[in-house]
Amino acid sequence: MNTQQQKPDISQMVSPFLIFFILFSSQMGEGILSFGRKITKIAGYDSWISVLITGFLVTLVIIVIWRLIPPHEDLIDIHQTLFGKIIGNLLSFLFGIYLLVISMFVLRSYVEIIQVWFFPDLSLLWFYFIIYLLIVYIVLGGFRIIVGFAFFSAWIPLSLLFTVYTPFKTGHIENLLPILSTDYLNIIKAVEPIVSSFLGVELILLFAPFIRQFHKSRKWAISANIYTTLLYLLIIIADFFYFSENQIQQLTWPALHVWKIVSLPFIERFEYVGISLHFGSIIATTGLYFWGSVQSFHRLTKFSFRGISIISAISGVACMFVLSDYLIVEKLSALLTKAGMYLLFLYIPFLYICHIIHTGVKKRLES
Amino acid sequence: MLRRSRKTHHSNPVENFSGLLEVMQKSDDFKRLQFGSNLNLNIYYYQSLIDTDKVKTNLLPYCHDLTINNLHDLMNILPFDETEITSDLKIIEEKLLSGYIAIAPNHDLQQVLLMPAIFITDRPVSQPEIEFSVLGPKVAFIEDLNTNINLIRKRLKLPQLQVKVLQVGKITKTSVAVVYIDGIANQDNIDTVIQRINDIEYDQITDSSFIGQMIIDNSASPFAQLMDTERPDRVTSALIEGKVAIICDGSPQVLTGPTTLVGFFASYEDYFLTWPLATAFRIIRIFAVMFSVLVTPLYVAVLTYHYHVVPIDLLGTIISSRKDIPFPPVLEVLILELTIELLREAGARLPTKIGQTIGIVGGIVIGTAAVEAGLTSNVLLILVALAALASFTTPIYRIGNTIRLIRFPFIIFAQMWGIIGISIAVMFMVTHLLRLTSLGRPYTEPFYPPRWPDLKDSFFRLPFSVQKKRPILTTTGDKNRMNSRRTTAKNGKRK
Repeated sequence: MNTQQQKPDISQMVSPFLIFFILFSSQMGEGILSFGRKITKIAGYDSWISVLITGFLVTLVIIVIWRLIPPHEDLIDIHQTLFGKIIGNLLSFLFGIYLLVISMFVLRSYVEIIQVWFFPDLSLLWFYFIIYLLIVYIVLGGFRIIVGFAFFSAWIPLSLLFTVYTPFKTGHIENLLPILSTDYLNIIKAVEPIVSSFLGVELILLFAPFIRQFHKSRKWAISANIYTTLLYLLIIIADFFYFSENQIQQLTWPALHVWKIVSLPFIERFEYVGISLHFGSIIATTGLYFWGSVQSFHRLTKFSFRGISIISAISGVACMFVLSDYLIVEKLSALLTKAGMYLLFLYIPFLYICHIIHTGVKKRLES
Repeated sequence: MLRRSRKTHHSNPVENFSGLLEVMQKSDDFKRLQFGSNLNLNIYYYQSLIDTDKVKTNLLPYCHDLTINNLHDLMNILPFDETEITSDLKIIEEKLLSGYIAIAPNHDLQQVLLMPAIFITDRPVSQPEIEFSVLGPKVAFIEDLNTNINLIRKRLKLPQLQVKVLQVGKITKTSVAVVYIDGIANQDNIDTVIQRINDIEYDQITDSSFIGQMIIDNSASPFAQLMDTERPDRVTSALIEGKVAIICDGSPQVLTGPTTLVGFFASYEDYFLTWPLATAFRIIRIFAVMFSVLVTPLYVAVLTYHYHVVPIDLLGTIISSRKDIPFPPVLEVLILELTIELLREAGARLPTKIGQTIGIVGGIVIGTAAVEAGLTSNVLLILVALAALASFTTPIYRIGNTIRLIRFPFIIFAQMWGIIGISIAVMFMVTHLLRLTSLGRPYTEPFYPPRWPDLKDSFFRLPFSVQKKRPILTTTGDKNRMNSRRTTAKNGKRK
């Protein structure tokens, strides 16, 4: 089970409907807690429309991805057929680096929350060591295990959803009115920061051969994306009900402050429990990205999956010390968001166009 | 150890019957009788293995019979079925050691007549003691293999019920029976079990748990991957579900597999209650286990780092009970948990009557005294006692042991990083469970891989009218539980 093969056999594949949980888990990162601040800065109380727009655009990307991938192939094969071996592999390598950086970034930005909320003097080396041990333990189990972990963690955001009840009950619906008071351009601009919370779609480019009857699974991916969109919508509207426009911009993680309002008879500060539970989603996202990056390096080189994952984990622990300052993390976040946006909305359509041209030329040559 | 025993066992290979006798006569309970008829019979046996009455009434009268001229005459006249005449030393040795009598004429030690006179020392079938149930049958397995198979066959009058007996253990040569229903049990599972048992290389097999540990997929895991039970009804039900049972001679515990984690929280009594009750009790049991594992780590986490999580009124109670305690919460918890473990170990080792007394002394006296002396808080005492109580709700003893153990890493993680630490520990455990397999089948089924139909008998115990199909886990040859003709007809109509 530990020996990961370059091309999966039936014992490593998962059912098509699990793509729902895979996609949902890879989208659920730290973004769900912080995107309220980022988009409100640009589009104010109307930014919930940007969430809907982004959800719609990402659905289009999903449709493109499903048209792009030939059966039993992944991004590395596509790169090789379209751009030749050297350039194709170089692009795949860059993609692998991108995935590794995202996996580190997701973890690092959550550790920031832990440092702020729990332990300002957290011993980072030891903490990252244990976390990467966990991630390597998950990833070495094979694709089924990482999907299983994602499956279990996908229930966490759902179980935390009851927290929006209090803001809906005590908040002010008038905050949202009048709708469309912001400039149209700002609503479009707010798409950029929120894209980082929708990232995860690009992982399907690598997961595809591991999914049984991949081409039948598109409806599950789209429903996962719709589910994510609705969840974000619910959270951002809850934020808007409860906080004023200016207040949200002051809060680094608006969703955490919504958890703070919740008061249960036996738990006073719910956000402590919430942060601990949501950590499961973070590990799932990190693990999925980590798996994607290790898999792409594994496909490009002839090194063993185990060796690459251990090396990646060590480099992950090491890189965390470069990312020690939160300002760097914020800069990286902006950078990755841009990269993610270009990847989803420019590069994948570009690949699709190349793919169409390629198949067209091939057909003409054959006939 | 293995190599040495093999050496002593075969150091002097015996070449003939008299050589074998020489080896055996070194033991004082090996007896030799001589009779002076016209055959000059010698009778050899282990006194400790045979039933002397059988010999006296059935064999001795014929020994003086003058009409008998050779062993064949004697064999035909003896009122036993399993007599045989042989010169094979291996058979003679094996039979003598399992309670047979060897008869050989004085002049010719080549041909030996073997006659069974086995002295059966088994206790009668009794009540289940570990998996007791208030309702339902009160029969438990005993140590004898044939009795155990008999207990199953009595409940399953099926020619398809098949028993494959294997010999395991270099020295003990224990009989191990693999039992399954042909046509229902998955052939892969049967082959896996038989092959793994055949591959066992060890000198002694004294209990089914030896086999359990040697054939499971991950022997380094604290979680049991084969269900062990002492209830014949539970084994029967598992066989009908398409599982494979392993019965070991000399062990009152029968293993069944493949199994899942939730299977360990299902008591067989659940099937004797109506389904809403059974479902409720199962859910209570699973929550009890989660409580048992998580409550003391949460106490450590909350009192060490996150006291703000506790509502102010409750916090007052906890603080006032803890204000004189000289230890940090983690030390307090570890001391008390270890005390409970001590009590449990002592209670398990001591004879029943002393055990009860020790329980009272330990539980009440030490507990109260520890609180009064200001060594532990009484809130923690309540929590630890509840956690211990909750861990006993598991119907299978083996998983209770696991629950006892796994809370300690949780406590350590809680001390390191509070609630975040607990959540990391939970993630490690979930990953471990995801990676486990039982005879190659996923251990966390039906949750992951999600097989919704199997949920009908996992967390819940839905009514029998819903249990139309056998579990997907076992991938049986015959999926329908109900009369197959009827179900197919219904399906046809629907289409």
